[in-house]
Amino acid sequence: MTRFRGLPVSPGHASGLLRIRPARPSPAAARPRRTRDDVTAAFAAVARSRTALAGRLRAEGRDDEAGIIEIAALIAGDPALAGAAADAVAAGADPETAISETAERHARLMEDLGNPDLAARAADIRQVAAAAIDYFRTDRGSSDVPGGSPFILVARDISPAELIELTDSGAPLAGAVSVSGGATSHAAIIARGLAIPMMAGADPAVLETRPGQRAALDGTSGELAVGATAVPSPAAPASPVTPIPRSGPAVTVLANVASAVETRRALAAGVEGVGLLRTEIPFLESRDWPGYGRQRALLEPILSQLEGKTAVVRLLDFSGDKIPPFLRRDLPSGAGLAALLERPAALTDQLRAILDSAHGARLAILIPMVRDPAEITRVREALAALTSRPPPTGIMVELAGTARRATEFARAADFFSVGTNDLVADVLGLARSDPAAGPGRAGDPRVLDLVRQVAAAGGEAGIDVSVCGDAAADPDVLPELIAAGIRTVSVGAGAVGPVRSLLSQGEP
Amino acid sequence: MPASSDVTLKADLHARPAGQLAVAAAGFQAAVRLSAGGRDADAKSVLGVMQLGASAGATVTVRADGPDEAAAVDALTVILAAVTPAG
Repeated sequence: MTRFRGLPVSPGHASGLLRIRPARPSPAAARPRRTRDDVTAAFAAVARSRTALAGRLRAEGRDDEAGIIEIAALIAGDPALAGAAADAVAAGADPETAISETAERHARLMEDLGNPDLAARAADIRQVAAAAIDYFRTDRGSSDVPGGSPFILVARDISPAELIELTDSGAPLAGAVSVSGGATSHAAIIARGLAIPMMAGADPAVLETRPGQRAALDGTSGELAVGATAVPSPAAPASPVTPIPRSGPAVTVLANVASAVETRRALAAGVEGVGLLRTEIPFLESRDWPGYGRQRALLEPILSQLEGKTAVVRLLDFSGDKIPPFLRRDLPSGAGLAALLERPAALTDQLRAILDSAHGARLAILIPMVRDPAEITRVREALAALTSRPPPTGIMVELAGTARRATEFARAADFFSVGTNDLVADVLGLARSDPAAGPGRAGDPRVLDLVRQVAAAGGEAGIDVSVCGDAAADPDVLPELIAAGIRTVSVGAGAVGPVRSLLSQGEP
Repeated sequence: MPASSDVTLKADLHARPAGQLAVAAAGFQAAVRLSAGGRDADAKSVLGVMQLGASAGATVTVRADGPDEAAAVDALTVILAAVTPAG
């Protein structure tokens, strides 16, 4: 069995047969069609399919996704790419080589501009080229995977369009592995919204793996095990889960989201609102504090779907493994909140963007990694300078020290949100990225005891206490959390359905 | 006599407005070019427009040459003036 590590960018477990798009197209696979006109026709076909897909997405109101695909359609129709490749073929070059070299030249130009948004388009260019090259293939690599078998797509670049197209066409896409990209790539955002486990930044050697082999992908830890026949999957236990009886206390289910697609899926699954809107995810590779405009562009498409519903927006949480380049040099891990509070302009930009994007959503502001009640005061002061009717302001309880002082914090905060991922790591002395710090560990008596204390302190002060960590979606831990006094949970968009079933909500 | 106009960008010229510019330019018969910071591009090429790498504060010059050049310059100027930051 061979294992490949990578960045976990979309959580979950998948198993299936490997469908591999090779690093370099094999000339032997080319059809005997190699004229200038063939190249032009190949790009025109890609442009048509992308335009049609964008149109379908627009019709469904999926404007964010459509916008991404429309740019890919324009790239496919751009004479600077198609024309240059066609010229090279007219001069005698092999079509696949001409297309990939022309695309590579454009992709590198984009990466060298020093603008993260434009650099991210390099992957779109390579993906358009890959689709055009497909046009020259008799075999698209799919013959290695029998029709209907779940497969894991492995490629240098995976485009958001590809993920949406495969899912929309009903292909059994179980997981995705790319050599390029990271958690902030568009493909990763779409994969999370579609609940497709994905690993990015994989070792390029993965592209040399023999296609058609069985493999298991762990999108939560970032590992592909080639040759593995089964995958341990805490998300889908082999034994049937016993639902929590309806006669138990009423539990509100909210969703954790960072994108519009996740929000849409969570709402479709019957969620009552968003319990954790992660605002830092698109900015993890940012070169400066994200300004007002960039934050509105993130928030608008999410909050506009939440009219009349709860929307708990968490302030930028640049901590742990989520520290962008501009903070990396001098920021100790976990000091992201301090950095934000020390930059009043950055804090005000974010609060203003949140308030201005609210539409009719029932806003609440959530402060991450709080270790001192004075931090709550700082945020309240900044809010008071912007509005006479500030939204409720609560804190993440995710540090053991904060949990132990819950009674004191309950006097300063309007609500508590228990972040079990970090709390487990802090209480048990594990690194957050340590696989041993999985969601199930929130069932540890030391963690549950703290959760009970926090719930009791909140109850005494009359403030809401919710759990927004992955543990809330764990079938073994959820009943324990409810027993500890938790009445609101917020879980990943893909977990909303299973959690509601577990709570005997939704379908009778 | 070709038409031209200068616009100072309020935000980086990222992919979305680059796409809008290319689509708008393609609707005109006139040849339309954009230049900024010593780089020059065919406005009908989304790759060319993105590769200008024009950032907030930069001045972009629109030049059009052809039967509908004045309308082309107007249309692209409006798009450039409305550029807002990427999400």
